[in-house]
Amino acid sequence: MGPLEVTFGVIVIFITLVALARGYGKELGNTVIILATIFVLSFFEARIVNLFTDVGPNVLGTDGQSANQVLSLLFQILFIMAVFASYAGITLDFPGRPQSAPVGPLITLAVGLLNGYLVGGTLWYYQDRFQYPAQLWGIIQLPLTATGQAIVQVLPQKLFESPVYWMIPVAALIILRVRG
Amino acid sequence: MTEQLEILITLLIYTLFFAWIGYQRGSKREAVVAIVALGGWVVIQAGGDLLVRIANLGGKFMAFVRAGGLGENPDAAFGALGDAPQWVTADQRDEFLFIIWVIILVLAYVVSNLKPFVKGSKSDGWAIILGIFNGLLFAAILLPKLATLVSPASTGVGQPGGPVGLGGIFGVFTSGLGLVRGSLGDVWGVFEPAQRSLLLLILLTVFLLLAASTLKGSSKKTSSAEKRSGANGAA
Repeated sequence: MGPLEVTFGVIVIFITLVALARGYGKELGNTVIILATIFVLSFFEARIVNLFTDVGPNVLGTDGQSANQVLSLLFQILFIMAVFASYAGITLDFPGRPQSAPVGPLITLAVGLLNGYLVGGTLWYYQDRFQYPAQLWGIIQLPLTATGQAIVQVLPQKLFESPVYWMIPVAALIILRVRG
Repeated sequence: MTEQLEILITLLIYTLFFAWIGYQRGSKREAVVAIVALGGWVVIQAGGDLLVRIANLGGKFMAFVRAGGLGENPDAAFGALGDAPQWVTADQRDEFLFIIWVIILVLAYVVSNLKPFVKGSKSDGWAIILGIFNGLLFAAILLPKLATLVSPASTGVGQPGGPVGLGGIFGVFTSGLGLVRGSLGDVWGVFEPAQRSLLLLILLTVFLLLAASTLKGSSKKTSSAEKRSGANGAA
């Protein structure tokens, strides 16, 4: 595999293409779920890591490297499950007809890029947070390039001082959704 | 205020002006101007020598006619052909091609004001985008000419007043984007890290709310759906 930013870029492009196919009315619902998931995972991150650090070595018999692999996988699987749930089955759509071209597709593009950044950035964050365990499986290539190091500084979880910040746009969108 | 920010504000005003013109004229008329302006420029760049040759042939023909070439005895007129001066010399080539392009552009504006083009020319987002595109295209082609008013000495290729190639046209677009990026970076640097978080939060929330509020007819749809479900419940 190539540099990590290539994988990140592919995820962003893929999610943006999905967004362009679905329209921003549906994509905003995914944004709400993704933001809420980022909040929940960030909020409980320290607690889960502490719990695993305390319990892991004694109960599961894992060393530091294995613990990082397990934790990274755990957070990423939880996040992917939430993202998948937001796309599959009954979804949280925003009612109404999207704007016609070019405004509508441009908004969809922007929302798609945001969702792509949130998903790709979160997956990258849980690699960065636990010393890139995917490197051991040959999925990613280290060291990070200059671009990669620059992107690491602006991953979603590093933007705000408190995870509670993520709930403000979520709350605002839900209020708007309920008001109709 | 940094110089870069001043340039950005100038660019924004210029862009907004052409966006407004585009919105006023509508997408169909702006598309005509955009296609003719860009297409004309590309054709003139590619086939400029042919145009110069045609103009010079026209000059020769005029000299031939003036010397009685269409009369009963055209022999003298054939002799005059060799002495006829070139209408467009190598030095005048760029100026000649530029004037041709300006004439085509003016004609495009005149033609796009005719009834068939005015009818159905919608003032929508495309009109704004095409207006901005036209504005940036004119900036790429015309501004180097106007720059000679400020620095008349430099008129070479790639210099103010010199001929503008396709690279120059794309250069304006990329420079404009670079300017916006650089200026945003400067503005971003003014804020403290804690303020940046807050600013990002506000921008993200405003963007999402604006995007959601542009969905048309949401309240009407919801209420009719509610009515239907209410009616089903009653039945």
